[in-house]
Amino acid sequence: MTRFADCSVAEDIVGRARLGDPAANEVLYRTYSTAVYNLALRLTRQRTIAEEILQETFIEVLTKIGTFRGAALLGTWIREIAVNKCLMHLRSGWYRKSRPLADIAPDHGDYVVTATKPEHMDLERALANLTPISRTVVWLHDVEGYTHHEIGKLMGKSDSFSKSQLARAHQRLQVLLEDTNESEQPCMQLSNNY
Amino acid sequence: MHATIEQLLAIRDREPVTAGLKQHVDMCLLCRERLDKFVLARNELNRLPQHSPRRDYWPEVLARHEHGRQSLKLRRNLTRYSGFGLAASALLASVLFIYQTNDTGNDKVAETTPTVVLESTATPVISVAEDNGPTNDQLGSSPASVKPELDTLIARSARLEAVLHALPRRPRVIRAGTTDLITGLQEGVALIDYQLNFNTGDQPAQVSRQLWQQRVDLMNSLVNVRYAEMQRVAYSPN
Repeated sequence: MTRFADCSVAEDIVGRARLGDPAANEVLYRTYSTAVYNLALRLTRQRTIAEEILQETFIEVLTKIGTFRGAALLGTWIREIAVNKCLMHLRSGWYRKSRPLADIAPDHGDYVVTATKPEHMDLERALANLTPISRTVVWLHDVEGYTHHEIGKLMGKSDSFSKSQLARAHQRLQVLLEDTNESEQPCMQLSNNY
Repeated sequence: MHATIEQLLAIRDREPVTAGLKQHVDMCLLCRERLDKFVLARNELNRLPQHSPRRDYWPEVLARHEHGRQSLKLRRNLTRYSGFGLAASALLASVLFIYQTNDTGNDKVAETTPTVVLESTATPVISVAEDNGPTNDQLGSSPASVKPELDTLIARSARLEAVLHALPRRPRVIRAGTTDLITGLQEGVALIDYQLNFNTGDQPAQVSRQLWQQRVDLMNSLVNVRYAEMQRVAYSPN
């Protein structure tokens, strides 16, 4: 169970976690940590940053679990915290300074493609060639199921911004995937350290 | 007119679109093909392999969470006790102000010429010359004949000593010349004290009187120099 939609914990666990039960807290971590890590890795494409975001997300979860009222699903609440952490990282001066063209140029990061199926490898490569903003919009919309309104709100922009970013990203993805099919690509680095 | 990417994505995501657009995409092979690609892309994105963190970060999360809690507690305590801190600072400031005021008062006292000094300077009877020197009679006279004057010198020396001790401490910033002068005078006094102590019993009364006279003179000079030094500090613009 590695996607937020696939993760769930029993109500009594959430109740115990709210009261600060360490065992229940650990259950939350074990249930959602992979989903949080994957989201962070997809958005930031840097393993060290993704691991840092994973830790920060759960520190915030443990700190604020007492205020979680259950109006939303716990997974949705944790995902929102994680997404905000990722966006904070992408917006941070440190990140932007280290990548002056972050808004217009792709950021490959230190993420190494490990897909075993060729079509997945092509898609991974195409994703890596999107700008961080486009990749974030695509991932949040197409994988995490965020609406344009929610994405616009998260990024402090309008719904139209999200729609146009998604359209541009898919256009770019199609071009990249078609290029991949038409031309021979250099060997991809495979890693077995995941 | 073919559908735009945004329109195709809207159809893919089951967002509201016009009936005409929907009908066109259903009928148009090109649009249909593009729509299928977008659907496929979304499905492939959702099927991308998942990864796990390189190691278990739960201990770090717990430790950092605990550290954060401790820091928060510390900050709350600091906020709570900052009132006490402010009160203590105000109290300390008051004490320093009172101390400073008293210190200034001492300086003012020092600005007035000590009575003994005035007395000493106004009446130069302390000097040896003013005593017209020892006469032969006096030299030959018994110690009892010089005792009153010797007592007076001793008393005057003691009073100058007391005045010197009553003067405020020397300023932190001092002149080298003044310090040399004061050191010389103090050494002179120490030398006379040594002579007075060394020849206690068998020295003639006249010699004792001269020594005491010199001591009074030196003490007088010392007090005057110290007094002048205090005046300089008192009148300095700072």
